[in-house]
Amino acid sequence: MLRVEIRFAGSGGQGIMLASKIVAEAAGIYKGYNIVQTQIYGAAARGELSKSDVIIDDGNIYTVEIGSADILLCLSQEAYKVYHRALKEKGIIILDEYHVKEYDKLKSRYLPFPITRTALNKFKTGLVANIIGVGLITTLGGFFSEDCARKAVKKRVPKDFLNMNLDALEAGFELGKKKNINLCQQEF
Amino acid sequence: MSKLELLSGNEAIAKGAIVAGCNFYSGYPITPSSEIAEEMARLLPMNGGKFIQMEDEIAGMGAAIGASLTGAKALTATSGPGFSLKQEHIGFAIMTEIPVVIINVMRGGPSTGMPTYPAQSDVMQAKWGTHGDHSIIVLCPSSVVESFEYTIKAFNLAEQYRTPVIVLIDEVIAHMSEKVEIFSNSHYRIKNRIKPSVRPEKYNPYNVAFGSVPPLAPYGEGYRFHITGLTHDETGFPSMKARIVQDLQERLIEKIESKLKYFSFYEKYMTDDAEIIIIAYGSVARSAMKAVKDARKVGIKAGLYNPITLWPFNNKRMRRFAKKCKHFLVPEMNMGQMCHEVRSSLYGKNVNVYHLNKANGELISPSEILTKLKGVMHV
Repeated sequence: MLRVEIRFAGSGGQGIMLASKIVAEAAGIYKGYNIVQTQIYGAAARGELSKSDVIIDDGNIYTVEIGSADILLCLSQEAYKVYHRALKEKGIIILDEYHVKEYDKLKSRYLPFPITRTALNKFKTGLVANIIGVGLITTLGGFFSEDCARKAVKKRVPKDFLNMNLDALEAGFELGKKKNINLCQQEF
Repeated sequence: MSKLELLSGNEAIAKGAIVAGCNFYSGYPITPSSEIAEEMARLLPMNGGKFIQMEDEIAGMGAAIGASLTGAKALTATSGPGFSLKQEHIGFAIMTEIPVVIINVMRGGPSTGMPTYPAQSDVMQAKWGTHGDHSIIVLCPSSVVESFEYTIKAFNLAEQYRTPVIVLIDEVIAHMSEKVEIFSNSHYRIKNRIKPSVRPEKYNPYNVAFGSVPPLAPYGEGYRFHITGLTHDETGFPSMKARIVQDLQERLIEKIESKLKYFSFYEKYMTDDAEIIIIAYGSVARSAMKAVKDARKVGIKAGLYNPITLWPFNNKRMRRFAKKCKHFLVPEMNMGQMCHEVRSSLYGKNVNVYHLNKANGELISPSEILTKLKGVMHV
């Protein structure tokens, strides 16, 4: 039995919704699990807290909200502050150390990655940070293959920006592989 | 041949409408229903249809009625405040018997309330929002797949019974994404209104000689007839004669209520041996399903009844439940609109109807329902 609850959090404009839809597409359409993807639809302007949840299950999904996450992707300091406590015992937090400066460094399950830094260095824009996050979730989670993620990015990202986003996805895979973690193979 | 798509409830509604043959949309965008308008604006031109954004919700409803009179399958979508504005024209469509589908993505109210938070605040407005005695068909899906399927059914029912049909959907269902398997168009059963078989000069728009739903001629094919919101006789011209008015009033109700068994859609889960049945619809039905499963694990014999056809409410089915089951719980995201109906459907039966209400923009969680179940069943 598989049940994974993934939360994406950051600030408006970082592409939190797109990232969650890509993960939902990869797990749901290309891998074949059942999925539910929800989001806060607040009157959130650019820069305000933004959150989206994806539930992946091999059975029916009745709940639409998640209480605590197996994976929390945090792309802003405020997102960390608001959501880091809602984590399952065996869950992990994927942090963007560029934006999240203050976090509990003693927790081995809080994993900092140079997400925005990589985006800026390699692609001269922080805009693809969300896709790097998708890459990290793919490798650290192991719930769907890299190829599922690639297909989902191809389906969801506008054509003009596709190549950059595909490269960002690969960059995410690489970052993830540095840590030898595969949540799918650990007992949930 | 089918294909899997990741769709939000709103997108699924638009796709369902196209499959059903919808070729006209008029409306005024309002959160949380705006994606339906967006998607229809994209899909309709590709499918030979027309999209028009009107100056307000009232006009959106009016244009949909007008389009339907020309033979189009018309759709409009809105949310609570816009739904209030549309009520006058919904009454007109009921009185003049014009098929049209209205989607209402519910949000918190009264007034502008909470535009982006879920609620089930329009259950009674859907039934009694417009004045005068009438019956109306209201469907309430609880998943993205159901949003797709019941939009198609809504169009079919509108055509079949010459009536407005309302689809009520929770904001959370409208905005969340799930997988939907979409087949080719020939897979779906599509119904179209009955057209007159008589010559234009013999046609009466409200001739009920062959059944309670008279054939409807599209304007523009040579049939000339009068339409009015006033009580009318079979020619469509106003009449205030007591017998004609009484017949009309009774037929408007009877043509729908007497056919309820053909479209009383529902979902039942473990109700046969249940000691307490949860009556839940929309997103709450999902939480209730989980609560029933959890309750069974701790020894509470719970069941679920999800009345997808909210209106007309199936009283007979409720009374059948009451033969074996003595406890009912109605959790809903309002202050007790459906609970009221459940109570009246069980009037005179020796049963307890409990309620669980939340109208603060938060969803009702499975654990809240389970806690309530434990409380009322003393477990």
